[in-house]
Amino acid sequence: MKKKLLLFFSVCMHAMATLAGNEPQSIGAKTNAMGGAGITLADPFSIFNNQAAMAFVKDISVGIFSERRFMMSELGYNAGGVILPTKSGVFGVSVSYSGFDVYNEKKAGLSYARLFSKKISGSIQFDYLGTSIAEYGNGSTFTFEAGLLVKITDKFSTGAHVFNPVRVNSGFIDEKAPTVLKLGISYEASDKVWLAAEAKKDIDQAVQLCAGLEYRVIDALHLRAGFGTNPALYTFGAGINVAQLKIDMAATYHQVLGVSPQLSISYAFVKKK
Amino acid sequence: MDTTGDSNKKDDYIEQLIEKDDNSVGDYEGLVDLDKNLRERPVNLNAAFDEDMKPLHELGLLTDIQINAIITYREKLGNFISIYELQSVPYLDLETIRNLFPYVRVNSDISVVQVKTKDLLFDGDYTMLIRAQQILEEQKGFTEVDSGSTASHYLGSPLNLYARYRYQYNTKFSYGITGQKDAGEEFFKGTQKQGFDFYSFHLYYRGNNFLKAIAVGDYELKFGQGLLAASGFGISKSSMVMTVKYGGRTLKPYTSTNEFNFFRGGAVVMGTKNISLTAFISSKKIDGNIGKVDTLDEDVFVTSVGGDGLHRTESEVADKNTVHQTVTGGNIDFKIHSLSLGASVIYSKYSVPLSPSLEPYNEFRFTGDQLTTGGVHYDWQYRNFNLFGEAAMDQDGGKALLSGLLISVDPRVDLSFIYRNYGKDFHSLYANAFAESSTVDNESGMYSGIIIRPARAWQIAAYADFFNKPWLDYGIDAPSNGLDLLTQVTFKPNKVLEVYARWKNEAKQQNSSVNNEPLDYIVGVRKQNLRFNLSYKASSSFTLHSRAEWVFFKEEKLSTQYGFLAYQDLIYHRLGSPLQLTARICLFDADDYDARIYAYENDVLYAYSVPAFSNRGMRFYAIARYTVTRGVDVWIRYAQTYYSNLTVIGSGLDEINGDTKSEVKVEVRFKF
Repeated sequence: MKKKLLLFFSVCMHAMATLAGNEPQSIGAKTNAMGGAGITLADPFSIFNNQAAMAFVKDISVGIFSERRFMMSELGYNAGGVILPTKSGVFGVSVSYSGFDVYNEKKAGLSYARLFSKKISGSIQFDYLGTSIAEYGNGSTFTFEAGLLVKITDKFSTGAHVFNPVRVNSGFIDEKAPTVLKLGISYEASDKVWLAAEAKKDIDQAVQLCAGLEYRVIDALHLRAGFGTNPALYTFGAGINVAQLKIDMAATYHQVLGVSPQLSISYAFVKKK
Repeated sequence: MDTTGDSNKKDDYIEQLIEKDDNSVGDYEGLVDLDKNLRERPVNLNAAFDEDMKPLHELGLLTDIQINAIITYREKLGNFISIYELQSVPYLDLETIRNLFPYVRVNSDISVVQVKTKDLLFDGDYTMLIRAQQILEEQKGFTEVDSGSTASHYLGSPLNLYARYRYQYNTKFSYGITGQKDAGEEFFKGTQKQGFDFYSFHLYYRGNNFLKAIAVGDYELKFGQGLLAASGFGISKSSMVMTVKYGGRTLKPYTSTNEFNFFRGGAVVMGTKNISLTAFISSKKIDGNIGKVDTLDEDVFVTSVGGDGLHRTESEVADKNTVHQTVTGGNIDFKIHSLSLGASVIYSKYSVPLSPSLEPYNEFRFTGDQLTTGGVHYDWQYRNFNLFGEAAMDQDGGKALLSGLLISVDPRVDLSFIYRNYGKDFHSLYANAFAESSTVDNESGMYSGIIIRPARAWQIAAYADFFNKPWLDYGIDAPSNGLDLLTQVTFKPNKVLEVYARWKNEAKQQNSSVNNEPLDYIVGVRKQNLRFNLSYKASSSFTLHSRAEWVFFKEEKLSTQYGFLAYQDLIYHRLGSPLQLTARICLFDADDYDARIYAYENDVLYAYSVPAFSNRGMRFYAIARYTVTRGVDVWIRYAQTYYSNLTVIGSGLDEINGDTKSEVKVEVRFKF
């Protein structure tokens, strides 16, 4: 057990993989195949990456996501969410769990997003954050995150998102939950090509830049590739679309620690016209 | 049409290549030569076969996807009526077409597809060229030595001489002879009774039937993706992020002055439309410092062969032509529609066995006097995808693999990927493939590049490259890894203005430079370049180039080293005027050699220079070109560097006592 713990912490240190301490993750194999640049993306995983993008989701959607970071089950990350569009805005519920019995983090969120105009949307999400470390106990706290999405033109979108702007404590003695600001842009180059780039700054970490591309070879098959810095990552992935069912796969490659496979499945309940 | 004053892709590309393989003697003359040649005799798009288009790939003007598209377009819709029709060819963007313009033409007279033998032999261009250059300040190696002194010094004069005679009919047929003497080498006396230190002769013909190409004398080879052979300038990471694939001719004439990196003998490429067979043999003497295993023994060895081709001192002369190198081999390519598959093999024999010095980083290097390396390669084009690669293995089981993919995703987006894995024990003596290091071994890596054209006049190019070295390397006493990034944003609203900003970031690991430990250990180093560049054709006769560049070099635990360089060029070239003038003034200030900055300079015809600047000072050059009569041109170039913080420039025998270094070049060309 001690060995496992040691391994876990050393991996965290080495990878600078911002896993420890309730760091908000980019979720969804589509986003992560594009380096993690998903702030402007309106899909069932908007509820994790930028809730403001939910305002552009038209149908009730559910999505589940799973990752085995560096192929280690102890570094697993699992999440799921539901998006519920109504006449007075879009509501969402999301949960995620990462880690293993000795060290794990839990997060649950309740979010609301709405359009301010045809081009601008905003959102707020209330979060419960829980951390549990064997022999140390459990800590939990509440915080919130807010997002913004602006469709500058049909082709250009830009988004902003802040997590935990009030800098709450994580529930462990004088350990602050991270405060993270994300800014991103995306560009619809054509009906076949979509590009996105994002900058992410945690108060206490070096700025992370990422960018990616999606190439829609045919409607049923999308190929993706991306890149991220701090830590330097290559990402690749593919998406298969069968009517309203989307199956996305991704693999991120870290130079030293290797490959992290990811899978997400989502379904949109399209209203019968 | 002369190109002095065109800020073109080639100059920028050469600059980046030289910066990349800083310490190796690159061979860019061939590239400069080809560029010039194609401008004078552009490719006729209506009569061009795949082979005729390949030189355009060599210059990085077109990708194979684009070449294929042009030929397919012509086959489907008939001949091009105008050059502007290229705009309707898929995968060709406006910028590519613009860059292509000087090198292609559309000739409606298709009857001249078959060149008459008489024309081929006599209707081409005869060129005779003589260039002399010299550094004006006295360098230590040239100072008078007392007779009886054993101090090393340069035997010859400080004059650098280059002469060549050449006949060529575009890229189809050429023959020529080149002679070159470096500064410090003797001329028609002493150690150089035969005159020039280096001579090169070539005869080359490229056909479109059974005989595809034949070369006698000096030639260059390119098989597959260069894991076995790719002489001449290689391919490398640069802002031309799609130029990462070899796609040029298998066999080319050798016309440069690098004294080592070529083959000498004969080579032939023959075959049918779908099969192409290459066979070659080469035999020449190369330099090497012969060592004896022990004083009584007959056994000798060399630690390395080749070198820089300089034979200025007694000891340099002693190492000249000490090793006989024989190379033979072949290549076969099958072309089935858009798929081409090939295999090649190369066998080398040295008269003296190679035995690198006993250093840990040489642990897996080639030793012995015979080597066979073989490989297979493939190149497949499917619509807008181009998948290519090569796998090679040597006689002792060392392996190397390269696989790449180019995708013209959209008129607005291009992508490139290169994965390579070169074993630490892979031996291939003439390899020149996509790599971070200058050798093709001990490296694995993944490269990806993208070009985005978001709006008219704008272009964004970027690449990222991860690389790992599983074994030690020179100056890196541990397995290491690194990361290269580049982003360039170009704004080119019209034909006269081009502005770009480039950010480059190279992070890698090397031995700590401040080390008090008994053992060397590695630390991270990071070098960033930030450049702003502007080219503006102010009027029909005046062109301006401006540049500002910053370098930040940071080694772990040490403070950042800074470098800065700025220059302004003024180019005067009035159409119809026999006189052209080019001048540059450049200021530089770099803390140390790690923060050096490279800058491509205009030069006399066929020459190129890309000096690296460190320390503090000013650089100035002026070039005048004067057309005496039709066919006779004279170039004069004067360049001077002044260092405000030095009293001694250079080191060893090249040392100059003073703060300025100046150089004069004079070149005369006769064309008939």
